[in-house]
Formats: sequence, structure tokens, C-alpha cells
Amino acid sequence: MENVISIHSLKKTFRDFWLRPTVTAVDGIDFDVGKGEVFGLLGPNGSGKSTTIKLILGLLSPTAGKIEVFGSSPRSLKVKARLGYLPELSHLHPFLTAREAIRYYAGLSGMSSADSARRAAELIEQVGLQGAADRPVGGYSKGMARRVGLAAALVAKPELLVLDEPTSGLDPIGTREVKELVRSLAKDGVTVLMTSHLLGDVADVCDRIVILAKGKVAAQGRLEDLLSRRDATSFTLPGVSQEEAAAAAELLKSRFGRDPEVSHPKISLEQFFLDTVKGGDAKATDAK
Amino acid sequence: MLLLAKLRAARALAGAARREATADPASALLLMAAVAAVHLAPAFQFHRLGEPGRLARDGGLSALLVFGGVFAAMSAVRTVGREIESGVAAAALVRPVSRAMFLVAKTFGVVSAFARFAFALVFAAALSSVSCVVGSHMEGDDGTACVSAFCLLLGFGGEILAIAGAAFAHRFLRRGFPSTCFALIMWSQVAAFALAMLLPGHAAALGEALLWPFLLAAASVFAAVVSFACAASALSTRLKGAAAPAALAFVAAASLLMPAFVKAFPAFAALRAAIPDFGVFWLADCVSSSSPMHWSAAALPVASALAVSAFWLAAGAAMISNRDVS
Ligand SMILES: Nc1ncnc2c1ncn2[C@@H]1O[C@H](COP(=O)(O)OP(=O)(O)O)[C@@H](O)[C@H]1O
Repeated sequence: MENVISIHSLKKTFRDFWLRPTVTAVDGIDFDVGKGEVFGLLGPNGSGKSTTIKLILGLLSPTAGKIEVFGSSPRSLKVKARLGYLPELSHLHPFLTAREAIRYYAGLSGMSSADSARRAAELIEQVGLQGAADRPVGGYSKGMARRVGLAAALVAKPELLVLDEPTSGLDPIGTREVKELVRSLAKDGVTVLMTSHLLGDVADVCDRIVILAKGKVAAQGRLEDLLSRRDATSFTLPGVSQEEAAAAAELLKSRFGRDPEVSHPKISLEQFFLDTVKGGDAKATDAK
Repeated sequence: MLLLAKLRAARALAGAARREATADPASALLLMAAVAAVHLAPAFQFHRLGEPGRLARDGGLSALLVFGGVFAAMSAVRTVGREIESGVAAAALVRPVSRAMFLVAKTFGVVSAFARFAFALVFAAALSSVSCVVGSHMEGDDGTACVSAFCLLLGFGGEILAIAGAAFAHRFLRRGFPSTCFALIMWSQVAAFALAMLLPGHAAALGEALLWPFLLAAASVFAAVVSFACAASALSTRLKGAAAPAALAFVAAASLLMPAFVKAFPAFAALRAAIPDFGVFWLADCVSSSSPMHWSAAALPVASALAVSAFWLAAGAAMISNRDVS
């Protein structure tokens, strides 16, 4: 598989004004991200996730080690033209409207005025900002600002999308939409690198993850391999009564000589919330 | 094709920096105060300082230097330094935009905002100067100075109207108050000047109001402030918080002392390439009827300001190129 990002023995030590070293935020990490992968960067606060992302974006220069994006230095303008970035906090000029902000970023990517107007209209719809697009972003809620940030990241149709905490500040519906967007982009061949504190979100979308701790790689691999319990197997059978379940457990025990664990499969709280809210919507519409 | 894309990116950066500079309430206040000072100072003068309108022109040039200098430096520090610290710059620098271009385009945006500031102030001062000349034709022999009431009404009244208009646009059209105020004050001064020229005897006073020498002096002050803005951009690529304004105060002090210093120690003449020359402000002295000003008196300061601007932009580009932006 072709690597979009490759990182070797990467190290970053921050220095103060007098160039004295202060913190080693990233301390010799290695990993690769392949084309079309959804890759998760996990770790507790202060483990070096944001620093790693900023190194990949060429915003910080490495103290040691090597970092290549699309086979070149991340500082190269050609690389940056293929990349989209959603920062952890959406830093926007507060005096611009959402539409103007998106067009500003389109302009920075070299789009013509006509192209940027068309693309902005498309993205406003895609991220669900219709109706608020011509208000200054200074008055936006965190979730809305996040959507503008996401539109800005997508504006130049990037091949690599870097998302820093993409779901922070979003409600469950917004979170689900972002996850669906990430999955559909990945299906179209876009490579996605994301960080998140919300492990559920990572589990839902990522193919592969790296867990950082104190600036070092603590674990990495395919999510499936890391999470599945190879020493046990579960079966799901619909429409089983309590007696039938007891009989099945008895059967399994007599056949294999080990006590099986019997329980109902659970849906996630997210799914329950979404079903509930959707149901509420439908009732409200019915009442009209 | 690639060049066109780069130009578009530069235009987007410069446009946002310009809007940011005029969207700041402090900018609108600075322009308000500068324009009001230029109109009101001559109205309260008791002496003509030798020639009619002298106070209006000197006042206009000083306001351009002092208020304009604060405006340009403040805008440059905010759009470059503060944005690097706050993370807004990072969102631009991950785009296909080189860091040198980022700095130059941002500075260009600040300069174009300052050009609007200067445009407003030059019209205000020209009108005020005409007002004094017309007033001097009305006054008695006791030497007390007069101004044209019509000019004062147009100029200062126009400013008040502009502020009211901005409040109206804010209330009913949901426009940002500071930026609308800034734009309306600018156009109010242009309109006031144009209307005043229709009044009898006012257009004829332009010569005695020393319009051309004043414009040349204003051009040289403008250039000096631009070079100061470039220094502000460059210094704020590395200096955080209060360090950038402090360093700029140092540059400003150095620029006032530099002419005398270089005269005493010619070996340090190279400093002229790095320190903005605010000595040009005293060109205002040349703007007098007794010593007509040659265009070269403005060309020299403009050339020196260009050299100083180029020096600081190059230094700024070098300083930002390896800076960590987080
Ligand atoms: N610009 C900076 N200057 C100095 N230290 C920094 C800077 N950015 C991050 N750090 C430090 O580096 C460490 C890792 O931070 P970060 O990469 O932001 O972690 P995470 O994103 O995993 O929370 C922290 O100890 C943080 O204080």
C-alpha cells in the first residue's frame, strides 16, 4: 500500500525564547498512514497528539527524525495543496460570515472567485449551515463554528484530511454526521488522520490507530486486531425466549463442558439517543 | 496558472488583513479623533503661525504620523503576531501559502487599510487648510484667525453624520459598526471637500492653501509610516505579547534620534536602511509659501522608506520561515 504519511524516529523538543529546551512533546515515534485509511491518533491530554499533527502539517519543525507527506517535506506547497486541516479550536476571523470564511480559505487555496462561490454554496449545504451562512461567525455556537471549520478543511477537495478532535463541541446528531462524512470520504479514497478523546467515535470510524503516551508510541495496529478477544466467540440469535436461552446454555455446557455467558446484545447509547430524537421529531410532525 | 493561484491566495490574505484592520473599534476611534482634531484645531486657533492654514496642514501631517503610525503598527501586530499566537495564522499556513508570502500579503493588507486612513485625513486636512485661507480673507487686521464656517460645517458635520450613519447601518442593516464607521468617515471627508469646492471662492483658495506641497509632504509621511508598519509586521513574527509594542517604541525612538546620530557618526550611515526616517515629518516645515517644495523633497524620503520596508520585510520573512506556529 502506498504511504501518504511516513514518520521515522520523530522527535520534537520545544524551546523557550532563549532556546533552552522546555518539553519533549514527541519522543521518537514511528508510524505510517496508507492511502485511503482512516487513522486514529489517541492518547491522554499532553501525550503529544496535537504536536504530532502540527509536525505533519509543517507548522512545527522536527527536532530530529524524518517526516514525509505524499513523499515530500510537509513544508512543500505542492503537499499543502493536497491537504485539509480542521484545527482543535476553530480559529476564524470573527468579522467574516460563514460564507466569506469558506471563500477566504478557498482563495488561499488559489481558487477563482467564481469557483469559490460555487464551492462555498455546496459546502454550506453539506455541513448543514443553510440559514446561518450569512451571519458573522463571531456569534456562532461552538458546534456551528466547528461546521465552518470542517467546510474550510474540505474546501479544496483534499486527498489527506487531518482532523483534530473533529467531534468536540458537536451534539450526537452532528457527531453522527461527521462520522458518516468521514466514512464516505474514505470510501472516495481520501486519507483521514484524526485525533479524539472520544474513544467511541474512534472505534466507529478508524481502521487503524496509534496510542501515544508521554510522547512515545504505546500501542498501534488495526482496531479489529487490538480489540477483538481471540479467546472467546459470541453468537446472536433473534427471538429467543428465556426458557430457550436456558436450554441453549445447557446444551452448550453439556457439549463443550464450559459455562457460556448469556446476555442481550446492546445498542450504543448514541444509537438509542438518535432513535429517540428521531421518534420525537416524527411525533411532532404527526401532531401538526 | 500556479502564479495566478498564488496571486489569489495573496489577495485573500491581504483582503482579510485590511478588513480586520478596519473592523477594530480602536481603528475607528483613531480615525474619528484624527479627523476631528484636523477640523477643530484651526477653529480654536488664536494665531495664524505665520501663514493661513499652517496649523491645519501641520495638524494633518502630525495626525497622519502619530494616529496613523499607531493605527498601522497596531494593525500589523494584531494581524501577524496575535494571529500566530492564537492559531488563526496556522489555519492559513497549512494552505498552499509560503510563509514569506503570508507576511508580505498581510503587511500589504495593513498598508492598504492605512492608505484609506491617510486618504480620509488628507482630504480633511486639505479642506481645513482651505477653510483657514478663506477665513483669513474675512478677518480684520488685529491678527486673530478665522475659519470658513461652511467648511467647518461640511468637514466636522460630515464626520458626525458619518458616525450617525454607521450607527443607523448597525441598527437597521446589521453592518459591523467600526468598519462601516471607518468607511463612512473616509467618504464623508471626500464629499465634504468636493462640496466645499463648489462654494464661491473656495476652489480659488487651493493655491494659497498650498495643496500640492502639502500632498508631497503627506506622501513622504505616508511612506515613513508604511516603513514603520513593515517593521511592526516583521518584529511581531517573533516577539510575543507586550514585547512587540515595546520593540516598536524603541524603533520609533531610534527613528527620531537616528538623523542626528548618523550625522555625528557617519560610519553608521547603514542604519538609514533599517530605521524608518520620521525626520521627514519636519518636511511640514518646507510646506510654506516662502520656500516652494520641489518634488524631489518627497521622492528622497519615499525612496528611503521603500528601502527600509524592503529590509524589514526580508528580515520578517527570514524570521517567520523557521518559527514554530502552533
Ligand atoms: N508551543 C508549545 N510550547 C511549549 N510546549 C508545548 C507547546 N505545545 C505543546 N507543548 C507541550 O507538549 C506536550 C504535548 O502537548 P500536545 O501535543 O498538545 O498534547 P495533546 O494534543 O496530546 O494533548 C504538553 O506537555 C504541552 O504542554
